[in-house]
Amino acid sequence: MRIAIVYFVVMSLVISGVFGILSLGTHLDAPASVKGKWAIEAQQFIPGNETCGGSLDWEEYSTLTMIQSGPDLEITLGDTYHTLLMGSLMGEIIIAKEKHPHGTTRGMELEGKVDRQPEPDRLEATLTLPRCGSSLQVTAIRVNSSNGEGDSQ
Amino acid sequence: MMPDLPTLFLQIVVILALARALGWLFRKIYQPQVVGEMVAGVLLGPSLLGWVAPGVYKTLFPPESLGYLNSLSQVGLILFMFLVGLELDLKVLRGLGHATVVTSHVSIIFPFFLGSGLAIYLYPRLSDDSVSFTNFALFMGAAMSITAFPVLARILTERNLLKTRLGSVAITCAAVDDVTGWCILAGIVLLARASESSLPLWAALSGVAGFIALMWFGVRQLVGKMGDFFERYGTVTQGMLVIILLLVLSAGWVTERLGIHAVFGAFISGVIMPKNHGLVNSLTEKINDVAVVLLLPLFFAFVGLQTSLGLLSGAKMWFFAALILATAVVGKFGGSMLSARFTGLSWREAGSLGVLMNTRGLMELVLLTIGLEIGVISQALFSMLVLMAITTTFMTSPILEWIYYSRLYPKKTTLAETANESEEATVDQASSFPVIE
Repeated sequence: MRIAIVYFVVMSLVISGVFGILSLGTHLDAPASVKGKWAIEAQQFIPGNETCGGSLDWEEYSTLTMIQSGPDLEITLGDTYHTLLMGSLMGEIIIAKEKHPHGTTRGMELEGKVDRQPEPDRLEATLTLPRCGSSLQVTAIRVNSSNGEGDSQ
Repeated sequence: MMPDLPTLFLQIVVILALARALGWLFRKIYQPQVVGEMVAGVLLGPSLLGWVAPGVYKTLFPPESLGYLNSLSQVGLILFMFLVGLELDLKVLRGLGHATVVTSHVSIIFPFFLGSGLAIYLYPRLSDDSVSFTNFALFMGAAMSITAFPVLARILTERNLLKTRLGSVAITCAAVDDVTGWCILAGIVLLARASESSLPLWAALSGVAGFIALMWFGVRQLVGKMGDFFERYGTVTQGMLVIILLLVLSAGWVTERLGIHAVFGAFISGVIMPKNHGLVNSLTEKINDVAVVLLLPLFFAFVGLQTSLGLLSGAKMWFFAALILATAVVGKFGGSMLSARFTGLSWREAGSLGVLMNTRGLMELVLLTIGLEIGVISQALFSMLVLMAITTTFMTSPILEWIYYSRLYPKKTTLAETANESEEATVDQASSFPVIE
């Protein structure tokens, strides 16, 4: 009898707790969704010092793919190098820097703003190579919102 | 488009070789083989192979080839879930003692509570506004609550514990957990897919209820005749096998079309099969070789390809991973142990039960893959939860040995000695209780 009473009291408390959590969580805000594949539509290339060996081969940049975990982003460009940038989303602003698994990078940076109204989502961004002074302005349209490599499968 | 067959064959060769090698290695250290196969999948993914040899990784797993690998792994998963359902005898749920009722319920609801509570902290940090908090929290709760019924059954069989009080409570709790966990997950998948589905939610719910009723009250009676046939002739004919495979695939198709995942149809097909021991053994033997030996390692590899530990960059991400692991262990181990102790089991038995219930294994990977597929969890969170699944499964055998065996057999120092002593008896028991390694 004692076990039954304790059981019902504990279970009631825990189940109420779960409902409380679900109710509390509805007031939480998560970062805007920017994950998925983006098609680059328009580009404007500003050449810098081409002798520094880091000019942007802008014709290659037709897509970029974002993997999102909360505000943290992993952005892969659709160029032959699959350039990888790590960054974060602050409100509507994306800031990312190139990262290579083994350390050597061209130091590419991306800064952009996401506009989610109206559909489809748009991204106005600038890719820069600060060491060479070259930059590429891009406008991208989100074509799918699956996270990770799922879109390729 | 035709698959690139040489690449696919090479992928299968590499995956099978590494999975078997690591499975063998892990068995040498008294771990279930499945832990080695799970680790093999992660090693073949971007976390290791893609990191140390990106060229080899891209040649071996080009993105355009992964669709075929995924399709094969999904067939393996469907067959595996049928086997899990086949092993699950709902009769064990009848006439439960109060200890089992309390322990099984607490071992679900307590980790579920902690998991959904953790969601409050993780939602703004690891999710985005395309996922509702309710789906996220329910999924986190389910991810913390699941127990790997097949791995647990294997461990109990190998350790000759099935007929002990601990074994019977553990296997019953795992069965209750499995059924409850899959019901919760089906609900989450239905909710998450409701916005994209052509079926309204009420229609999908009615369809699922109708499907379960049809399977239980209609199809179960029909397949029951297979049990009678087997008792008379003692064999599973090719005709019977074809009917069963058609049933599994059709049920998977129906549940996929209803908006819950195909694995649920396969699981229910297994649950409704007659539980004649000979039939279950014979069916398991026939399907096991293809599903578990050939196709399931492909599923592990596919999970590994989606697991990117590189996404856990920085102390913050590793802190989240540690927090998830701690919550999972406290919820499942702590909840099961305390409730079992409260209902009269000794501290040693209660602790051992907690350790056993904390085994998540392959079932967690199935759940996580579905979560990633329906977009409820991000890839980084997926990677953290895969780490948690592997760690909690890995820790089971050594901690069980420490808590249960070192006190039960104080003169024997290792699990190997106690296991070897009862090897013959274990083989007999294992053959009457088919489980996946």
